[in-house]
Amino acid sequence: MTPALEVASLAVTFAGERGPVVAVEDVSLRVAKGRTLCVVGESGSGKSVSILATMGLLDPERATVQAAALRLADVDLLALPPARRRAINGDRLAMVFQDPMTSLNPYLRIGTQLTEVLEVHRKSSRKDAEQQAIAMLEAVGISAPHARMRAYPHELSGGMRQRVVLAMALLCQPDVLLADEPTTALDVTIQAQVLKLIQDLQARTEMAVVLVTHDMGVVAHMADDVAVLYGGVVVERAAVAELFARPRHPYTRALLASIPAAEHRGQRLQAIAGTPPSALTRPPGCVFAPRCAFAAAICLTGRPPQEALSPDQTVRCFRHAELADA
Amino acid sequence: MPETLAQLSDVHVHFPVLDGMLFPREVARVRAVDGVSLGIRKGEVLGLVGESGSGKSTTGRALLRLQDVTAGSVHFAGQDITRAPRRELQAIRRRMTVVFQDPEASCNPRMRIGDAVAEPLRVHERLTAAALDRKVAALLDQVGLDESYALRWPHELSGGQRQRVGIARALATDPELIVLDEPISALDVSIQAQVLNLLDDLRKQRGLAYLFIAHDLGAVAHLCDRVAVMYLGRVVEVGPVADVIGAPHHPYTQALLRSVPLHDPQAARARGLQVLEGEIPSPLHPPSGCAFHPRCGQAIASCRQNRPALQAFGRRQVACPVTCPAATQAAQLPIAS
Ligand SMILES: Nc1ncnc2c1ncn2[C@@H]1O[C@H](COP(=O)(O)OP(=O)(O)OP(=O)(O)O)[C@@H](O)[C@H]1O
Ligand SMILES: Nc1ncnc2c1ncn2[C@@H]1O[C@H](COP(=O)(O)OP(=O)(O)OP(=O)(O)O)[C@@H](O)[C@H]1O
Ligand SMILES: [Mg+2]
Ligand SMILES: [Mg+2]
Repeated sequence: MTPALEVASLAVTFAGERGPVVAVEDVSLRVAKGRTLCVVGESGSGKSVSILATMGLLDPERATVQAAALRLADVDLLALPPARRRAINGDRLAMVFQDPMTSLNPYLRIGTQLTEVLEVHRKSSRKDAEQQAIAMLEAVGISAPHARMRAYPHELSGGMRQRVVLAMALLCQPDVLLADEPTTALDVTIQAQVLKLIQDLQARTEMAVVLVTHDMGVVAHMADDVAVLYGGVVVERAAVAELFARPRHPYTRALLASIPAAEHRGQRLQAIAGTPPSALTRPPGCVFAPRCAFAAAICLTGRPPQEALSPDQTVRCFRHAELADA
Repeated sequence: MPETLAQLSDVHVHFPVLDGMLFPREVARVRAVDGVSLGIRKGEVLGLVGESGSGKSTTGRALLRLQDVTAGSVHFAGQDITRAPRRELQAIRRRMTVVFQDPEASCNPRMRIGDAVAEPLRVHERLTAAALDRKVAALLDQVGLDESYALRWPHELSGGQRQRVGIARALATDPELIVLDEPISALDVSIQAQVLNLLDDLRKQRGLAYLFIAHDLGAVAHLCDRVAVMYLGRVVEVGPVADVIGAPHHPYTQALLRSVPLHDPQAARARGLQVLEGEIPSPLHPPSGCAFHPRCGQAIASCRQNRPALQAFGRRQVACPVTCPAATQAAQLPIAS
């Protein structure tokens, strides 16, 4: 079956003052209709940039985007003229930004911003659009949605803004939702409600979801598959149960080990030593080698190849077979 | 017991809701903070959790005096700062700093990272250029960013990297208290662990106190001494973190803990997402009586009429006469956890 969204070997380079910044080196993402791919990984590993590149939202003056393939079901996004591509955004392909203020205009009431989406993409009447917007605000858990339509973004709490942005993305019932940490600013009860809403919509409309998160609990509840990013590359990809039960890449293992839990109060958390690679100075070998507890001489020789362990699972680690046996 | 460093007493913060284009008039009030009393002792970490929109950030801003209070008082280091003028606040703001929820807020887009971190030092301290550079490099290093970041611009950083810049800035003037408004929400777990360890080290080394506003109850349990739980502008439960998170007494705290996602995909699938039923109340029209009663499985008739006050209950305080009746001793009460 054709995936709802396929991103193959994406690379993104920014022109920096001190030379090029390789924000994304080799990222492939694929998600089927009605399924959820969670993208996790180190801060600065290229999650947001990958999503922005997929949406075609990076400034071509500053960013060079390359990809072997970029398709939305059967539409080749790389071949689309910019105007057609923009028409798809917000309609068939929708995004929730990590920072809600990126998509909210501080000078417009949120009601205006919500109804505009429907007026532009669906040619809805003002009145219809208003009704749908209010219903969607209610669905994402905004109380007194009527009154809140008149609020300006700064009058809402951080979590409310995040839900407004999610409401905006869901209004057109997109085929694919790209959500960059949509619940990070929410408390756990509202997080549960928002995630449930996404699940329900998915069940109804077969929406495919790419969910960037760093909350492994959210991953456990939402993901069918997980892609783990580190230093601009996907270091591991697996079905969710497999990933939690048998993480193959040392970074994935370290990630799962560093989750704070009430049981371990007072103990030091297992942080990964060292600093993440800056996009300016990537190490020549495996990107994780400088911080990896299992690094050996071979790890410094070059980038490890992507190995397929099964149709759903890939890993990039020279020593994964050895380590799995140990 | 160490002395109290900061104290909010019966603080109210109300925002007017205006309507009308030409002659805006107040049509309603958002009671964002509705009678909150909280103390933070020297070297103590107080967690503040609760529903999104319940007034956590506003409480933090009131403490910092970034937000004027409608009623109540704010004290810092024994001094009443409720109405302190700007000049007085200047001195306080080096002793009490903040990391904002929104990493954008701590990064001026037209300032290089190094200058952003140096800014509070320039305001409050006289250092030579070389000493300033060294201090900035040391601060960046403390939050896990190498020196090269000093020359970069905020838009070149990821969300988590910007958040760490905010922490470096907050540390710059050697404060006694930092209000941390979801400082780790934007970070991935391994950096979260680094930052939590860092915050833990700093408090041990320097006796720092924090007001730690967070959604991640695991992180709260890890870092905090005490925790306060807010619902719709009020504190509903406050006490030692092990007690409150280990055996929550207020029905909202219980619901909060039930909503924490599981970290095991099989168990997560089996249980599904636990959604707290009922409508999220509006601070414009708060429910009568206990604000939580419309969503509470344990509510009784009186919960609709009487607004419960916080009552001492063992080592904690709880605003629920059903799970924590005033006359009962903690030890005798069977509490569902
Ligand atoms: N416009 C830009 N110019 C130069 N470098 C950039 C730009 N945008 C991002 N980067 C760099 O690209 C890398 C990837 O950034 P990205 O925002 O994708 O990280 P992320 O994985 O989303 O991290 P986080 O979890 O912290 O949000 C980072 O090192 C960042 O500094
Ligand atoms: N400047 C303002 N004008 C009007 N209302 C405001 C203003 N600032 C905050 N509010 C309202 O006050 C209430 C509390 O907001 P606050 O930001 O303190 O919540 P919070 O607990 O920090 O939520 P979150 O977890 O989502 O960050 C919300 O209903 C919000 O809409
Ligand atoms: Mg990001
Ligand atoms: Mg807040």
